[in-house]
Amino acid sequence: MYKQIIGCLIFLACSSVAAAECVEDSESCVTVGQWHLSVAAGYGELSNPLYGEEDIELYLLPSISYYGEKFYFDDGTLGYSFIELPDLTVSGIVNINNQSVFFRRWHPTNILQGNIMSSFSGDVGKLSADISKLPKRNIAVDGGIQLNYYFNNNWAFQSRLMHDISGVYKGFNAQLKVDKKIAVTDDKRWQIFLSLGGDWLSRKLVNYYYGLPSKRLELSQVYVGESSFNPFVSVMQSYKINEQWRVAMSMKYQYLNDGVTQSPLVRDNYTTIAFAGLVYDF
Amino acid sequence: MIFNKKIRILSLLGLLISASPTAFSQQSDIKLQIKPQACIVDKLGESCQLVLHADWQSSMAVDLCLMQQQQQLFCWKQRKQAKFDFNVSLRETTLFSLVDGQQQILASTKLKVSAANNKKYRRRLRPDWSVF
Repeated sequence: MYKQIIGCLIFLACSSVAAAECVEDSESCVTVGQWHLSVAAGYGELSNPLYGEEDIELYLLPSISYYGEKFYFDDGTLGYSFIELPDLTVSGIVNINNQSVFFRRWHPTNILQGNIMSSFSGDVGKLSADISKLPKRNIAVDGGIQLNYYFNNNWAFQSRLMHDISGVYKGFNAQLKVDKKIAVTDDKRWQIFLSLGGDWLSRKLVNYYYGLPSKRLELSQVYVGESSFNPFVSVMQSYKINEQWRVAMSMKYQYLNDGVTQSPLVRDNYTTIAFAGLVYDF
Repeated sequence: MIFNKKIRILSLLGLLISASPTAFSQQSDIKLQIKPQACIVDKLGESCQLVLHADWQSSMAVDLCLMQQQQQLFCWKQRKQAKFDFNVSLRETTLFSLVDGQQQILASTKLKVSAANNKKYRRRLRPDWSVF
């Protein structure tokens, strides 16, 4: 998987064509100084890799964003772009760490879900532990830097390095991602967006969310997390009906590496997200 | 040429054609007038293509050249006046000037390029639905 990602990046670097500036509102460009709100209504599922937890059903996915000249807010990410060129943007960002989504019923991303798990209500699969002794996994806020590079209007690369600024897990995480946009129809009414990348989670992050601490459990039940690189692939397609309505479908598969899956809490070595529905752009 | 078709010049300011003020040089009695003095494009960054009418007069015969920013367009020798039309393609407000042999500006005037749609755009840094 690593070789494939590196090979893909080299290919992109060698085949780069200048990216054009944004000249209109589109899927990849927004109007400066305007709020953008859309709501997707449909059905989807986020699989939960933890023992004793059910998959999370999705019915309604709101999307809200605001882009100023430098500052922006986009679906929970607060950012300030201090370098913005036609083919490169570098931003300082703050967002909520997504690892807690599997552990917290009141996590912001779970608000509009239909089937919400209870916090650690099930068994801890690989060992018999008193789950009431396990500490809660708190929501963490990350701060860091994000780089977006546009090889051309169809290929893009994103990397980010984040650190816990809330003092919850006190570690790092990073992401590398390549995006490809395909216009199925000449008028761009029907487009497909492909992503290939990976999330790296530091040992402290994995240990906080997936580790079993020695203070609360017997020695045989203790698990100390290791850093983990979890590659993912996603595909999203959008068919524009008119200016307000479009049909959209999204799928993502993420492989969970040993650092996470060796935890007694984790049942599956993957997570998936799938959603299909109608999107209304306000 | 293909690009030309994309360009939608919404309107030229007619009033400027009929009654635009003449640009007077501070250093000489040479008068330079260019019509029209403004061009409106749909969005900033788009090219404005139009035929300009230029007219200059001087009280004495002079050698001078008409410049578009730093680019030399036409030159005359020992002339007191000239009237002519020429094609230009502009993406931004542009200075037209008459200069002498020492490149000193004798008269100048600006042609303003403005957008009917003043909205600015930038790249979205997260894809749709990237909630997770």
